[in-house]
Amino acid sequence: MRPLDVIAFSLTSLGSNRVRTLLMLLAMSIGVAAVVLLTGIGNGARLYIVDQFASLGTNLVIVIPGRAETAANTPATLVGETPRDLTLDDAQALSRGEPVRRMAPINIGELSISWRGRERQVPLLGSTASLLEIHHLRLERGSFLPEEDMEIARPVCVLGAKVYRELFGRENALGELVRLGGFRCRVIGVLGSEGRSLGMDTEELVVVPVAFAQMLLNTEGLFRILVEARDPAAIARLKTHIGVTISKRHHGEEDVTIITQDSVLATFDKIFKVLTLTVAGIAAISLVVAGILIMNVMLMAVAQRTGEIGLCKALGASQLQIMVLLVSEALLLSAIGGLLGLGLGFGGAWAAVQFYPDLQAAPPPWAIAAAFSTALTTGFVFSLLPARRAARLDPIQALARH
Amino acid sequence: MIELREVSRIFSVGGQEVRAMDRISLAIEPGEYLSIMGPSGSGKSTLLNILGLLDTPNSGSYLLEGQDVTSLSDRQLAATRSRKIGFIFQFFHLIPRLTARQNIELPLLLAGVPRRQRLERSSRLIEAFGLADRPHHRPDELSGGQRQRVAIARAVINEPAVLLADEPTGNLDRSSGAGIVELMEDLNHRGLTLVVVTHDPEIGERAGRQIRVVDGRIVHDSPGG
Repeated sequence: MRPLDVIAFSLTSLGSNRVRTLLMLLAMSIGVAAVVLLTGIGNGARLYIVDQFASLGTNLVIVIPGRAETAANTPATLVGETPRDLTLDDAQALSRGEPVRRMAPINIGELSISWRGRERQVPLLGSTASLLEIHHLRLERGSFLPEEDMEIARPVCVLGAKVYRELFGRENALGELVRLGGFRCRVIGVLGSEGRSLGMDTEELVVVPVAFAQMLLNTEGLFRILVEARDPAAIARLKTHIGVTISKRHHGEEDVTIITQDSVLATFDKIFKVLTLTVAGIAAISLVVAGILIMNVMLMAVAQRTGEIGLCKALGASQLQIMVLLVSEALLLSAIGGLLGLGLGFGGAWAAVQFYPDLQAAPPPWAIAAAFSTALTTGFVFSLLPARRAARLDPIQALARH
Repeated sequence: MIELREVSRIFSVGGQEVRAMDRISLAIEPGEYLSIMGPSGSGKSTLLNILGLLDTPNSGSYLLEGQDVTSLSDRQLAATRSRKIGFIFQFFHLIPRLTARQNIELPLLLAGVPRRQRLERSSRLIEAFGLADRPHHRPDELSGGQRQRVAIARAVINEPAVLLADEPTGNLDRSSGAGIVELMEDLNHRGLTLVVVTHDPEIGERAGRQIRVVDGRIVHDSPGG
């Protein structure tokens, strides 16, 4: 029999029992749609996290004062001593090195800000001009912190979008003097409304020069230092550079913790990949259930069509041909159901994006291929038994029962 | 052309052996018109099934056009059935979801004949068998006589060597039955070997050669009048 004739013959057979065919298509398409949709959402979640990290800067190395793995157990912690602070001089020293592209010291605290009687508490972030690039911040208007010696405590500030709205409404803020803690400072810029960037809501932030922040918060130390490597290959060299520089300055002690962005990112990436695989696996079970339904219905169909099968044998169909006919029917069902399921799954993913634009629910190509081929495979495997049974029917008895 | 030598077919029913065919030897020449008669359970259907390669004998040999077909594989048997044998059944055995034309073309479809050739051959038979106004009707829209015509067209579309008919008029009224017999005899006049199993002596006696089977043996074999 020619392949096209097999398909046409299978279609007439599927068309002759519409309810049965529709039910099987429904089961198959729901299974495929579930795989596509769930992996899409899982993948979307993964991309969301990766994106969050990327917004923090990619080739970034974060230097935190104190050794994370030992700080809790040193005698120093028992007598209430904190680890040695990172200072602006440390930061200065770190920025001088071949693998370094940019460096931004960070200080954070919370202060009240007020303008013409309006007041609110804000998280304060002290840094330098390079933070704009390192943190991928977007400036809505005005200018960012000036490029100058970071020891200069110039009383200027850049407001987060929300802080600006709440203090100034629609009025012009640039050049205005606000009261920040006990000091007056001039607004020189407003950040764009990017939303959150890994734990920090940039909309609510007030950014000031790092030396000014130290003055406001009355501290010598830094919260951390962000160092950006020249390129991904330079990250290892950068870590060595940081270790050597710090231990040289801290009397031979390397009392800092160095976190690389990509190690954290890799961990999250792995967790979400496993999660996506898990939900895909759970969804794939529904495909197997659909396969069992196909087998069940086909066994019934073989019983109903005994006469037809006997007739085909009398007319010259071999056992193999009978099997091919029945398996093709199941494959055709699976393929059509699979395509419908892909449509449904993509529709669902699209709808999810409409509701949660942050979650870019894009089903990964491997999931599409896996869902579709699982559908075909289950259709194939679960039709083998009924097809074999049909092929082995005794034509005389099959015809007699007709 | 057809030669059975000492062919036996034994069924075991409830632990007991039933000899449906008991060392039957039979030779049928090309173009012969043979009727097989006998009481129910005498073994005439078994004989027809053996001739049609739907069943295989327990012992003895069967030569079809000189070829021993007793030990063929399933695939070879299917291919031989497809090329050399045409079946007509009492209950027509048309596939209800297919049109008359599709039913007629079914053996060609199974044999992998291209669409254009199928169409050509089925058109010729539809015309010749008086079905020209009904090719797109499904079996339930056809009369009994028309259904059997479709079945005969299906049986001969592969241009078989022999046409085997099992009670071809058993499910038809008198006049439709007569039409079907005329159609088969017409095919026989054109050289097709025809073997008819029937209960009806009126039909059986029209055949050029009549055999009578009782208890799995041929008890009478004579040229008819």
